[in-house]
Amino acid sequence: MRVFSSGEMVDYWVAQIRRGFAGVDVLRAVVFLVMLLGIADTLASGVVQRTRELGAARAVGVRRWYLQRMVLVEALVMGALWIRWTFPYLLGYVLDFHLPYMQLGLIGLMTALVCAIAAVLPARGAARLEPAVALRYE
Amino acid sequence: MTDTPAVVLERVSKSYGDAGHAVTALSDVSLQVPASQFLSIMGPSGSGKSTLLNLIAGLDTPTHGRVIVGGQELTHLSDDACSDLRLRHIGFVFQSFNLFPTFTAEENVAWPLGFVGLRWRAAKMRAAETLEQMGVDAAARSRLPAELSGGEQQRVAIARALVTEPRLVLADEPAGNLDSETGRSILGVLLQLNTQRRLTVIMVTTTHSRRRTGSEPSSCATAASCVTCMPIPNRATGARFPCTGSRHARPRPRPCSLATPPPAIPARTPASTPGDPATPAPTP
Repeated sequence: MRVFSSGEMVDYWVAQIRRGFAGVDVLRAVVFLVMLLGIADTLASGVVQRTRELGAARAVGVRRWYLQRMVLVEALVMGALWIRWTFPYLLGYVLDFHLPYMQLGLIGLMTALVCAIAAVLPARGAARLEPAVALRYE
Repeated sequence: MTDTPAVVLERVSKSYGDAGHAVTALSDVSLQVPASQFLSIMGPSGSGKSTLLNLIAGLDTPTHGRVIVGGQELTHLSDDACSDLRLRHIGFVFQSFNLFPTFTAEENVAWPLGFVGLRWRAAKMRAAETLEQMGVDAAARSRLPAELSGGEQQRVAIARALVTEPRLVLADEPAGNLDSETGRSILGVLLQLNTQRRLTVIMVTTTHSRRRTGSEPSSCATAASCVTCMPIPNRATGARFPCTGSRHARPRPRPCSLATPPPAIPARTPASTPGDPATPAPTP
């Protein structure tokens, strides 16, 4: 038999709960992977769907790097929306009610990084489109 | 006024595919278009008309030969420099309009101005002016392209091509997707641009479109096998048919092999006479 002070009791249960929710970290990693693939897929299909528009933009006189930057900005906007929508979810697993500034900042940075990585291939695809080929795309 | 031709093509060829399965779209085409000329390129589908236009716009690179636009050889320009040339000196009008579907008509026209350094508000004001000149009414300017008629969409597309004040307008079958009445009015707009603003216009059209719209192109080019290039006679600029030297009579297209360059279109020199060496001798 062991006697706990009230502080020790709280610490004990906090440790138990954290152990119980340890799987959530794995879930977070999976969520990031899904997000990475999802954003990359959305951007890539966006580039394919707008092939003619991108060709028209090049015919108007838009430089390649602008199209590359456009896709990157789209990815970052998607990331910002993702953070906005998942904000309540992020708060849900914090036992004390407070705004986890550090955590949010870290998640924001990671999201931006993930979006930028996801945007690399679609952005390169958009920039490398040959205008004459893009304009013939059906 | 400058004597520099708007467009010069020197023995230009374009092939697609591998060496073993190459398809020749253009073979040894030479062409010279003086400034302020209206040139209509006509021929059946697959004859290389659009390829020719793409090469002039720098959207594609020739397999052989040189393309010179406004005195600048495109093969010597970087990709960015080529984009800048298109932005400032070339306006492109497509058969299928190619307007941006999420932008309103006004935004479609204002958008390129952002790349020449104009602020959005000023760009929208200039876009509204250009749309007005093109005959697009105020109500249509705030609509999306999908909410506009074909004729209105093409007018918006022409306004977008003209808003940066280019000297050369390339039109790839601008009336191809329009009914005959609307097609005629669009061709009228292009002719007006040529006569009033003295823009060089190179228009691609099919024989079928020409009959349907009743337009008056007096030039044609079918690239794969033969080519005949003639400007539309222009009383204002004094342009003459290269084959006849006449400004009034419509000549019969005179096909010639692409292996030998076609005669250069004479420069607009109203003072030139049939005896002048710069002017081809009239044919009966």
